[in-house]
Amino acid sequence: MDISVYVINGLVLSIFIFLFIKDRRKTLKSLKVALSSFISLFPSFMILIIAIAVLFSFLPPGFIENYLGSNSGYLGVFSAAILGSILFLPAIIAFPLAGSLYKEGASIMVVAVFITTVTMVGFLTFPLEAKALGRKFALLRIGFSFIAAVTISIIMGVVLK
Amino acid sequence: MTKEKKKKTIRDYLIMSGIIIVFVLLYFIFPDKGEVSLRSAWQFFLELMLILPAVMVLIGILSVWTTQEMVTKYLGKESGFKGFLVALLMGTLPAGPLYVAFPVAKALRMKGASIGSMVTFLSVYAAIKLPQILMELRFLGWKFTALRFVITVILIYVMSLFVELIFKKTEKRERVILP
Repeated sequence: MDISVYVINGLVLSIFIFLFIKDRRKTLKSLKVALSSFISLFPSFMILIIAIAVLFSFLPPGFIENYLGSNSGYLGVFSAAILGSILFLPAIIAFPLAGSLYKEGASIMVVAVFITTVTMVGFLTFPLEAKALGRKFALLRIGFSFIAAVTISIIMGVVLK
Repeated sequence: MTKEKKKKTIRDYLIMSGIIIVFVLLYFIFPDKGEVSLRSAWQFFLELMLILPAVMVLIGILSVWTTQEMVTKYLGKESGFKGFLVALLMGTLPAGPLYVAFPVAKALRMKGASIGSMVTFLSVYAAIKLPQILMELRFLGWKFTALRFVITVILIYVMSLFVELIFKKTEKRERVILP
């Protein structure tokens, strides 16, 4: 088993124990929130798991490597960036998805740009953002986030070669 | 859970059941591919279950212990690089999707926060939340997570400067044009 599993569980457990000693009621309430967010996110995870398992077994071998691997160049990065910008995906789901794409041969750049656009860009929530903060602000933030995502992916591609 | 959220959850469970039925059918139609995909689905499931409870507990802790009032209280005051650091810290903590943060950013603006610190807060809120970092760590490794974190923080800072500058420039020009 990966060491990160121990680190993550250990970290959360110690935060939990520390807060439990500080304020028992509040901390128990956070367990309730945890359970309800688990219940509401569970179907998304299951759908993701099944979709990936089926998709990967039916795709011809090397498909992802060809279209999203390092040889796909900027076209692969660009399509991943567009996809990440328009997908309405809970950010937490994006990480296991990106992880399995990476395992199947997608490049570092593609994975980085996908995650960053999914989390930061949020094209579908533009109307909400424009309403709350103004069109100009929303357009500038979304535009710059897209540029930032591509920049992040290029730098990561160079450094983690 | 609100009524709307409950409805959405029920819908999600229905979709999930549909997908499971399709999966079972596929399993019987293509037994050899079904075997492979069942094994990889199970592997993936186990991998997720090792950390999902912890991540959910962290989300619960963050949403109970950090309130929006707290975030707005600290964010409204500071500006400049210090403001950036405070926005960075405040954005990392709350749980929830990005669109929840828009009204918070609006409230910040009313309280006098700069355009730059709004950009910082929203970007950090979106990109580098604690539960997300844990997921990234698990599925993409230390190196990837650390590097993306550092580059993202730097770029968010640059971005907030740019957007603020653009706002200042265009506002001035508009003022010149309009009497």
